[in-house]
This record gives sequence, structure tokens and C-alpha cells, in this order.
Amino acid sequence: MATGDEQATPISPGSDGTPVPAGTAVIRLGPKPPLKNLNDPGHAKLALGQAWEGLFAFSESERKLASPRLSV
Amino acid sequence: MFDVAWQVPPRTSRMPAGWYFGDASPFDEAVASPADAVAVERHHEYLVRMSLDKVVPAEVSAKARAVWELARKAVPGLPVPIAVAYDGGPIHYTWDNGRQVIALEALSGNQPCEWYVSDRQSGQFDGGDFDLSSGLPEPVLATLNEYLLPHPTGPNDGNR
Repeated sequence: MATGDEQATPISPGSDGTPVPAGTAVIRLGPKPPLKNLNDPGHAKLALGQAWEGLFAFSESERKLASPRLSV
Repeated sequence: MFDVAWQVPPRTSRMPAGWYFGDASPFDEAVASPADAVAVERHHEYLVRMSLDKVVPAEVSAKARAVWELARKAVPGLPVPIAVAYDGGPIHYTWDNGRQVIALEALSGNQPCEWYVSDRQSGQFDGGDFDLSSGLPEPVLATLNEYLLPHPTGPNDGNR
């Protein structure tokens, strides 16, 4: 039974470049930045169909954690 | 009397005071090639645009420029990171070579900058705050130096 004290298992982007491991459900907490807010390497990355950790804003409560969870 | 003929003229009248584009020339020792010089200059223009378009406050744009300067001066040849600007700040930088991820973030106001490094191979990660006046944290510098070393990479070979 969950007590609420369990440590969340950190997740990281999948090795295929997808933002989260396959089968992981995520909830978007941060605003999705429009494409005009990306620089050239960001556009190049998206053109490859890949995402990266920085594309997904961390919630304030996660900023100070050493193991931030993705907020998609 | 001094000679001012060398001064770079302003590129645009919309350019805020204090911005200077001239340091991405092929003579810049932190730039590895003319192609890199172009990439660096385009990144600098991106930072100015994020400020002029009111995506982020000018202070965030300037702070992001300072973070980038610290990184590329510490590790010559470092590629331009992936950058994303969030409305009102922050500007988030990511270097990702498939194995290592280095993230630096310039936040608004008096907030310190944020850093995060992780190694997908070992599962190690670390992060925290830093002040620009203190330079980049040692774990960031160490990882940035390793970043340029050849690593076996998968499909997600980052922005190299």
C-alpha cells in the first residue's frame, strides 16, 4: 500500500531520443515553448524527430532536486 | 586621440545597448572553424531576438549569453548548445551527446543559474545552483571537457 513516502524512480530520456522511456505516462506541467523560441540546434534536433530534456520545463518543486522528473 | 576605425558598427538599430556581435570571428580562439563562427554568431543573434521579441527579459538574455561565454571559453571548440527560451524566462541550454547530458539554465531576476549533468551510461547525475561570478561548477566543467571526447553514441547523438 502506498504511504506517500516512497521515492519516485527517476526517469530519463530513452536511448532512441524519445523524451521518456516507452510506456511511461507523463503530465505536462510547464508551457510548451513555441518553435520560434528554439535556436538553430534545437530546430535541427526536432527535425530529427528527437526531443531533449530541456524541451520540457521542470516544475518549481523539481528544480532543486538532483533527479528532476520530466514534466511534459 | 585614439583610432576608432576598428569598431564594429551596430548591426541593427533595434539592438540593445551593450550587445556586441564581433567576437564570433574566425580570430576568436574559442571558435574552431569558420562554420562554428557562423553558428556562434547565429546563437548570439538568437539571444538578442529572444529579448527584442519580449520572450524573455533582457537580463535573462544577457545572463544566458554570459553562461554560454563561460562554457565556450572554458572548453574551446564546444558546440553551440540546444537552447530553448520559456516565456518570461528561463533560457535553458542542453548539450547531449547520447551518453552525457549537460544542462545550464539562466533564470530571471536575482535567481542563481541552474546546472544539471547526467551520464546515461553510469546512471550518475548531479545538479544545483551557481552564480555567474563564481564561474561554472566543477562537475559542469569536467563533463563539458569529457563531452568533446569520442563516445559510442546511439541514434540520439545529440547536437554535436
